[in-house]
Amino acid sequence: MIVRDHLPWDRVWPRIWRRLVLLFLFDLTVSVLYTFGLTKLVALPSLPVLPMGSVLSIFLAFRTNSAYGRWWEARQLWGQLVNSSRSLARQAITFIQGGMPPSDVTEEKRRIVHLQIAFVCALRCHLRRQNPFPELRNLVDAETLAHLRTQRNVPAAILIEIGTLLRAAFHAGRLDSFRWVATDQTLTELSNVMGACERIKNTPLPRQYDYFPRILVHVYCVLLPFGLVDGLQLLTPLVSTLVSFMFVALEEVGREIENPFENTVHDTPMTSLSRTIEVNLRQHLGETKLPADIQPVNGFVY
Amino acid sequence: MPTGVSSLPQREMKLLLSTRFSESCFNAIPAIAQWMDDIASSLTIVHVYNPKKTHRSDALAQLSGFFAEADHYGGTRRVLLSGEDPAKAMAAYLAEEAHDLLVCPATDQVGLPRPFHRSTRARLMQLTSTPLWTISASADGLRARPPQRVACVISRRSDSRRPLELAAQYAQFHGACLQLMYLVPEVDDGTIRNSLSFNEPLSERTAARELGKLVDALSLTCEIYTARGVCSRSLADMVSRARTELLFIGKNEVLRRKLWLPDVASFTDSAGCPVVCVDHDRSAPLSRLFSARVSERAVVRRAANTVSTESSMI
Repeated sequence: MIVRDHLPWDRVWPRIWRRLVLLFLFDLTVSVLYTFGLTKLVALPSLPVLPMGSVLSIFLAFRTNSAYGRWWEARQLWGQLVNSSRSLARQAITFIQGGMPPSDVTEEKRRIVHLQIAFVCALRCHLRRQNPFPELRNLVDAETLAHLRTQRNVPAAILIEIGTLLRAAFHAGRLDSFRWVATDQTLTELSNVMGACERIKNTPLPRQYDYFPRILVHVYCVLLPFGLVDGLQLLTPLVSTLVSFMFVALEEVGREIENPFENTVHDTPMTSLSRTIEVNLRQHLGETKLPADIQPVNGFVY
Repeated sequence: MPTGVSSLPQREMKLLLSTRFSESCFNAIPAIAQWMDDIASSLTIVHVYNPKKTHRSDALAQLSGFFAEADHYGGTRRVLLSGEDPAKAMAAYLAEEAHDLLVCPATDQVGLPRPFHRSTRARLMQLTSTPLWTISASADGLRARPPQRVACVISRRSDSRRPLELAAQYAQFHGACLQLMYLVPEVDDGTIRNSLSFNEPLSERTAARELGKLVDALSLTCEIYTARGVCSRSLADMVSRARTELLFIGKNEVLRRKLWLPDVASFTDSAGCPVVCVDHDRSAPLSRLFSARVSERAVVRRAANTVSTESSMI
């Protein structure tokens, strides 16, 4: 996620420079042909070009809104994950009978809370298609890790592990049935968050939303100098390229934010949110050796 | 081909990630996580800052924020170096602290020609003997699983033996398919020289047959790819056609000169997969590591198979 005020040009320029340079050269050719009287056929009345620009703006705004909707939903889901993680840790610590932090936390409570931290890490890696096991080594025991390696959906398997621990606590009489049900509801919330994230990850924006705006932007940018050349003549390349830049940039913005779990600068800041959850949960356990908060790198938080 | 050499000492792989916090460096994180799970035991994240341009505290804050999840890996170190020439500073650090693999993703594209750009990767290849893993910013396909198709470029030069050894051992380590790639040169003096050793013109068929002999000696699942042309023009197409996921190649095949400055051949970026550039005679540590750990991984695989068989019986 970008947290700096301005976008650096070296991030924007590589994505659009080819199109803009080609358009500028094309616009220049059109304006030279017209201005020096080589042909007057290149001038079109501006009337059909201008309404087309308005329609295209609406189309692009719709596409950008759809992409932003996906990005914002992803952020909301991770916000919900932060809340549910804290709730689960609180419930594990206060509902299950036994020692209380900071002085005397039972191993069972500690395992549940560490598994929840592991769940968040595993979900992040699952969404970014990254190997989670190097991170999980320090959060779960070797036996659980070996079991998780056999699972295709690691975060879902971790939820099962937490549920199994809660069930054991219930059967041992350390957790009554009402509290077990309440805690299980939190696990269901976590499962729902995971499912919603997977839905965003696995379902792209309808390709029509991506394809047609791109084609229409190209067509519009090519037609634009023909509509402007009669009035602007040699100034046509400058104005036309500037207007084209606005449309191209708008189209790029939509494309960049439509996939919020792709390990890019436009991602939901999952690494940072994972760290927030970890710090909170470790503090709930009374741990004092906490990892540092994550600072933005070059104005980007991952 | 040395495989499963149990007499060699067990070594843990030391990975060094050189970062300038570019998008390419973030793109490389899934691959590093995979290395860390496979064979690497320690990761050193190094950033070289220029004290004339950046304040040390800013550089330190950025370094600690980059790849934060690596803090959980155990054995992760963050090292901040200062210097005006990142390649020289890195090389000096590598001379002090030997590492088995240097991870150096490509610089982000700026979209403009850079005739006087000094490629840090190229200079690192010249200055150090450590195998260099690199990937372009636009490359896709880094996934949370070991590569299934590992390729090696066989060349007429003397330095293709080491990349082949490493590629074969890496493929065996992961049970991946080894792809041998050979580009038959256009007709030149070298072709005539090769023809003398093969008793027939060096065609794609001749090359494939010679590679076939190599495959028989490797006892691995192999695929052979041959085409006519040179690396700079044809290799990226071949890699794309073979759907290669990791490419081993000799450093001499990769190093170029642009004007008078060292540069990395453009096919390393257009290949679309990570590339490991190997020095011809000085990459023994990585080779030894693979050899030592192949047998260990085989034991783990057998154990995993046993578990799955039991599960299916239940």
